[in-house]
Amino acid sequence: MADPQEEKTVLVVDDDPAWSQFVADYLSKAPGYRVVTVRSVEDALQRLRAETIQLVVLDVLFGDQMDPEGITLATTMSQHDEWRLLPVLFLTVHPADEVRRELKEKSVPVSSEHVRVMSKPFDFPDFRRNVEELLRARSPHLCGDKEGP
Amino acid sequence: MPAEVHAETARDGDLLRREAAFLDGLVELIGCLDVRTAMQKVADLGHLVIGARTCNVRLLNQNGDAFDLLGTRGATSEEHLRKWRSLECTRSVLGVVFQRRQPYEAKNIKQDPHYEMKEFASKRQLAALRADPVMLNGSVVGVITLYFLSADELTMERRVLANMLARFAAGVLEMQRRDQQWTGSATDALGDPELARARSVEDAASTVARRALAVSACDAASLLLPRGEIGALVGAGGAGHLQLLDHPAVAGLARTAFAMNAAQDSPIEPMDGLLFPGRQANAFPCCVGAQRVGVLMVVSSQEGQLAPPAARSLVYLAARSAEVLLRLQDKERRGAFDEFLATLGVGAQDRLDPDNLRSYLLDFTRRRLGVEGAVLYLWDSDLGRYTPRTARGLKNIRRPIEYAREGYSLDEGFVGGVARQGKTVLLQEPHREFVDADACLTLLRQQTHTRELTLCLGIPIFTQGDTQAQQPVGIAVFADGRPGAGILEGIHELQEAGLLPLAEQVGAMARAQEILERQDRLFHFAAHKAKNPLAKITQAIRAVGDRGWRTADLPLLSKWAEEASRNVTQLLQVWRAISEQPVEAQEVDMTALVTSAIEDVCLMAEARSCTLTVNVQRDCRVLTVESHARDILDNVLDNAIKCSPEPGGIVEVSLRGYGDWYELRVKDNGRGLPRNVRESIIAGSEVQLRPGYGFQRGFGLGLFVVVSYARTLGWQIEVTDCAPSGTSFTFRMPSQHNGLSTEGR
Repeated sequence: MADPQEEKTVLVVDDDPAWSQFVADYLSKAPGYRVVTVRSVEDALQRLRAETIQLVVLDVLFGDQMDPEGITLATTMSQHDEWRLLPVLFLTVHPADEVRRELKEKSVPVSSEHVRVMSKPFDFPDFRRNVEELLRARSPHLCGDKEGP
Repeated sequence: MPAEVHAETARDGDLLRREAAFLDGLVELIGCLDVRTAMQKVADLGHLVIGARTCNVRLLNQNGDAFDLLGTRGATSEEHLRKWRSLECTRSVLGVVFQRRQPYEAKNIKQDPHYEMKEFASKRQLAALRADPVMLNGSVVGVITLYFLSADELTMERRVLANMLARFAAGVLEMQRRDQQWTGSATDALGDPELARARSVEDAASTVARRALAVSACDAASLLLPRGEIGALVGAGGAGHLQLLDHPAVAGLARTAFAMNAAQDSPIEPMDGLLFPGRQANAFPCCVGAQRVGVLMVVSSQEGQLAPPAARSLVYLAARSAEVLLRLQDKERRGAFDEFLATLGVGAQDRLDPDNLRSYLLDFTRRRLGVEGAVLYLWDSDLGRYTPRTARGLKNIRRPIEYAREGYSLDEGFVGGVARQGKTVLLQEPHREFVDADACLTLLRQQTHTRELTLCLGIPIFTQGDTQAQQPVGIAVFADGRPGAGILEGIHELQEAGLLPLAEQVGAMARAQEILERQDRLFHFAAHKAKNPLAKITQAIRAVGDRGWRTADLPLLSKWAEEASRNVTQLLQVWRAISEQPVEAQEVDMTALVTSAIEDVCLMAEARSCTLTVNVQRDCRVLTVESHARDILDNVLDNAIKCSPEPGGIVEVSLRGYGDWYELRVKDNGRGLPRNVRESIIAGSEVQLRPGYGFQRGFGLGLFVVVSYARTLGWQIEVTDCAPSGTSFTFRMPSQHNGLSTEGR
């Protein structure tokens, strides 16, 4: 069993709980991950405030909303001192370059260290690799790691 | 001179000679008014003008007493004389109806009454040429009906005879007036306390409509008084409910009015009692004195045509009311025009600033017609003096930018076009053949970049002046269509015509660009929404390959497959909602439809532990488009269940009748719709819901389908925030024709 001190908490944000659980099941197969799922941007922000999150996995569109709420959440995070370097992995049906362009337009710093975009459907090994790399690249002291460096 | 023109001229000359002979006879007739002589004269004139061996003049006084004045030449019996005297018709006169024995089946009414006459005559379909109630001092004193008993076809000569006989009636009236056998003011003479108490056009119209309903047992009656502004008055369902300019029949009324206006250079031009079997409606002229002042249209929901006695009664009722209504209407219109002038700050003879005029008319449409978000275009039609012929042949309509440059004069007449961005509020019955419609619509299409524009209503616009001789100087055109429909072709046409700089100058290109961008957003959104569940299915299948099959995978696959299917269905519905496919309205058992829709969502509700509470009244029948209604139900139920908490969701569905309306309500206890979305639905600002006009935050495809179809069907929508949680959608649907579009959607 993974040491709770080493356990990484991944926040999965998607309006489809079945999908969130699907992602959570996959991540939880490997040791060292704790997955928290929420259905809305509001709930995500609440979770971010309440506990230490090491990675956010989210979609771009939520339900019938035409506004790209996932982009909105990333934008909010980028403007927040505690969360601005928290890694984000988008899982979306949107083309990755479109999402990146949208993020740039919203002045969200897009770098491979902090923000990555994967198009659904994706390969599971790629997904795991992206998660691991993002977690490695994160800077705890800048990411609101409440446990300290 | 070509032979046929020569022949025509000769025939016209012959007719004129006959008419002159008739008038001579008329003078003689008025001079003596001896019954025997009168009958003989009528018979002689009938023979002289049309060669009819027999004709029948029926005199009806205001008590409904009838007397047939058989005009068989040289054969006037003592019995006829006795009847005539017993009728006590010294105050009673006369309307004229030429009537054939065969039923009249007008299927394709044209604008030109002359053309109609010839057309109908050639098809041997005419039953009635004329049905004129005749009024004295503003009150109906009788109705003349005149029948042809011969089987001859209607000819132009007979039309002229009808005209002449109408003049005859006018002459008799004038004679009676001079004899002072009729006194009293118009209102008193009406002897109608209820109408005399009417304080507005709407009040009086409600009375008329109610009576019409009582007389005819029809479901809706409309009264049109096109002297001055058109007042289209609709009474529905016997409840005295009245809506101004908000009924499909109004388009037909307006068209009839224009046919009438087209004949205003000859105010007593024969006007048919028009039947519209397809629409189950009748239109009748109403006269004040010998001058036509309005048209009564009765729309019946019953199968078949109105029975003649009921129709005649309606003419009578409408004519009795016409003067009161006209007086009220004139008063209102004068007020509106004064307000108009005050707004503009200029006199009627001054040249008007186009911007002021535009804002006035926009305000006018908002206040009087309830049209929000209208786009108004005005064109100087260069009509020095309005005549029907020149109006029909408008060739020199200018672009707004040109008239803005050159100034604008109301006296010169204008054509005003109002294009509504979105669904129609005014009318939902397109009439492409309307007078001037093509010219106006062509320009509207150019100006709004909306090629698929449907004309809804043409309203004549009048200048201030002698109310007795009002002539329309232009037409306000209300049209409906999806703004931007065909926009690319429109831009291409502009480019071809070298008009792009002009379009840019008036901001048209910026608007076009905006429309295109928003359309892109809609399709972008729709595509991704459809792709998402398919991608999830693929992902789940890959997971099976990665880790092997689990029982838990099946529900996942099933859920996402259903979601994908639903999205595709919604996309198809959206396509139907925004396409212009014709649909046919039928009587639909809403009770069964709602029940069926609820049965279909039961499983989904059960799976989400959602409680469905159903309260559906029996036998709710609505004239609607079943497939659209079903799409609305499916989407709104689906939305309600999915928005409810899981578990613990409660969705309440009710369907109840309220007089002429049925109310469908679907309430959930979910998270609710964003306020801006609710407000946009309630405000009817469906402009923002249309593709290309800004899909609002929170509006998905399902809600788009619901709103689009509901508006197409003429259903009212109310969206209420049910604090502390939940939303209710309330649809109010007319049980009959009201507000239903069955064409061009």
